[in-house]
Amino acid sequence: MKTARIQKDLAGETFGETLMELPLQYRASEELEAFLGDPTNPANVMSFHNVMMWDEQEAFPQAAVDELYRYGMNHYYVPAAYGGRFTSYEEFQSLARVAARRDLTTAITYSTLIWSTLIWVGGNEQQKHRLAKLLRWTKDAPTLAYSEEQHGADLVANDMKAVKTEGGYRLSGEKWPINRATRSGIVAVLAKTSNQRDTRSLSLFMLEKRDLDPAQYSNPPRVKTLGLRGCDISGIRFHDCLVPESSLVGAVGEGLELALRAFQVTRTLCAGLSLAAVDTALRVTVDFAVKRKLYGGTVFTIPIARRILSDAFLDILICDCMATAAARGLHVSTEQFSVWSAVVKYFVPVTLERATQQLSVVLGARHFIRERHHAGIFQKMLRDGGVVSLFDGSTQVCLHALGLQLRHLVKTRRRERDGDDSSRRARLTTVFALDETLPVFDGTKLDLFSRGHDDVMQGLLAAVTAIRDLHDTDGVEPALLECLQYLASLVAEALHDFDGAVDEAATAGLHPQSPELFSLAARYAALHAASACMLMWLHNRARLDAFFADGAWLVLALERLLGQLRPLQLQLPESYRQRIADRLGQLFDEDRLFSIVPLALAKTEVTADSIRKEDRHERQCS
Amino acid sequence: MSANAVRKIQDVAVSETLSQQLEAALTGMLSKTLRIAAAEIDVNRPLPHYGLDSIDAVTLAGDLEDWLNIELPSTLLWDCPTVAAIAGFLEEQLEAMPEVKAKLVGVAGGKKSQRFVHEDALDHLDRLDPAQMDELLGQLIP
Repeated sequence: MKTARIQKDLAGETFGETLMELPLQYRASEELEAFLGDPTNPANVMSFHNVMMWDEQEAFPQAAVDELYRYGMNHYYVPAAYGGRFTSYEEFQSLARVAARRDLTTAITYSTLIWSTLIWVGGNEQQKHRLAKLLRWTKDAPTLAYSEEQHGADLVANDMKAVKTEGGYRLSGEKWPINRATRSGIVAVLAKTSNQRDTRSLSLFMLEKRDLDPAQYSNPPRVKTLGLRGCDISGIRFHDCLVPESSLVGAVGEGLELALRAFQVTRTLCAGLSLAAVDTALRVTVDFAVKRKLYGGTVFTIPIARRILSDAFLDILICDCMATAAARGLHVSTEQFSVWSAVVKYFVPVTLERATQQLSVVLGARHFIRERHHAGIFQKMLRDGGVVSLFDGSTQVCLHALGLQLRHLVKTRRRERDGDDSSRRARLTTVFALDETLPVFDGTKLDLFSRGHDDVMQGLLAAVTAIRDLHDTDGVEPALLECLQYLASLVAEALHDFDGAVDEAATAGLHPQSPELFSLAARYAALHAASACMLMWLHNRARLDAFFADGAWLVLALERLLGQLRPLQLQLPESYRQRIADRLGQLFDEDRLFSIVPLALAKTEVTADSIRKEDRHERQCS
Repeated sequence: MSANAVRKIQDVAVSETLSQQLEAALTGMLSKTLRIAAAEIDVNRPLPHYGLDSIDAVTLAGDLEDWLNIELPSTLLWDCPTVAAIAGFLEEQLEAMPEVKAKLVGVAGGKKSQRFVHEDALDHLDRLDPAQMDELLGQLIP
């Protein structure tokens, strides 16, 4: 048994310089890595070679989807209480990352199973058991049919109608463009159940296509897209289609509320897709940089190239801290996710898409070529990755939602600053200490408004204080500690400036749609990221490996984030940056994920054929 | 619009009930958020008509929580989509909380909301043309 062997290999995992136990929730991801195998080996189903071939043909990646079913990925979409294998969003996100680093088209196709969240959060027991059965034992996948051609993200303006009739509802209207609309077996539809146009006029239905009369619905053809060229991005049209009463999820009029609450989960998880795309983009760029000889050395030795590579790695570490905390936070600070999900969904895709764009400079002409260097996977990741900031609530939708809450966030943080914060401290420990057990996720706690609470931001000043109170004897290099304490104090100042700017905006009475509110929201997200990095470091210095504990990455991460908040002129020792570049090289050499938890990837399988091919390419290209 | 202005003027003329105070204060908040004159807001007209979107509505429920210092459902403005409906809901809630109610009638609500109403009503009167003024007077003096 392949699985049994993998389990054995995992015992006593070593990574980095220090012997450490891989946090348990990452074991499944290592197992999936080993199962899927080296993506650079064309013999593996989810190889870059195959993925690029399907992309060129605009072919649906059925073989790759089947491969994920063969592993049993579908079971991770069903909560343990309903017979599935889902226990935490942290584990789930890591698994999705493993699949997505090979192919975003497959991952985004497969990820429509996440719309089951609507049922776990808002469905009745019968619906939960039924969906659990479908997801676990069939290949029926849900699709999310919200958007309409004329209304985009303006859901309240939807035209699709559901009219009550004997035994159910009659649906009419069209949803477009919808991922997996044609191939899915289950459809989550938002439709108007009243003639008003308000927040209570929409209801949610979860339909099984097998229950419908095929003459009463149809699918408009697939659309051509820039990225995700193999995805079934089409539409669904209902012609006075009878749907059963039992397909209504929650009460009549609860559709929008349920949709927005489920988005808080899925928006948070989008971070994993961006992290996966940039991992591959960086990996194939490093591969080029260490092998390519230019001006008497490798590209990796050229300072500006090394700077771009290590900056991309830093961006990954920053986003990893934020995304990992958020995935865990879903279990702990659930009520606050109107804020957390907007922060993550804005910050992570935008930051990592920019990082990928930067990497293309190092890859040079190869980033523009749809073949050869790793079969041209870089430009595919660039194209496919660009969709993440677009779907599920775009960058602007998230900044708007966040912008509106800023006044409350500042007010609550001030009000609670001097109070008893023991319960928040306990929550932060559960969120950030990676070996703490997470409580079972309770979706009923998701709320449209966080009442000004955001544990990560409310923990920022305490993190700064904890760093200030560290001593030379606490295992951090004295000079580095001094740097860190200085940068942390600058973060505290930046928070103070930010609060002042929000006050001014409130006094000025900014309109909810004003662009200034969007830039304030972006500043909030950068501060949230800084706090997540500090808290992650403080809680795991003794848990993760020596590179993580050393803290040079945190110094550089804070410098990078502060640069987005205020003019900064700092001369940090070059040796810190060198440590980042060295670590990057090490993780690349050892086939490990670019992450704060660098789990073992499938080993690079060096075949005689791949060496010959590589040589030939190098000769032709140089 | 003029019917609404009449209502505003009547509001200050007669002694205010709690629900009227709440309505006046809500109208003030909405006028600030949506940047429209308070006099333009009809307490019986659904708020989405004034450009209040679903997320704005949730944030306004937060403002109300802060103002009254009581916990309210995030979707309050979804389920009570007019100023009158929100005021009615809040009044019901406050009946069960005499100390919050007392504070509100004593300080936060009364004077402030009354000032909003005065200013906005006068503002509105200033902008009426003679025909509208006649119509208004006709309604006020039967």
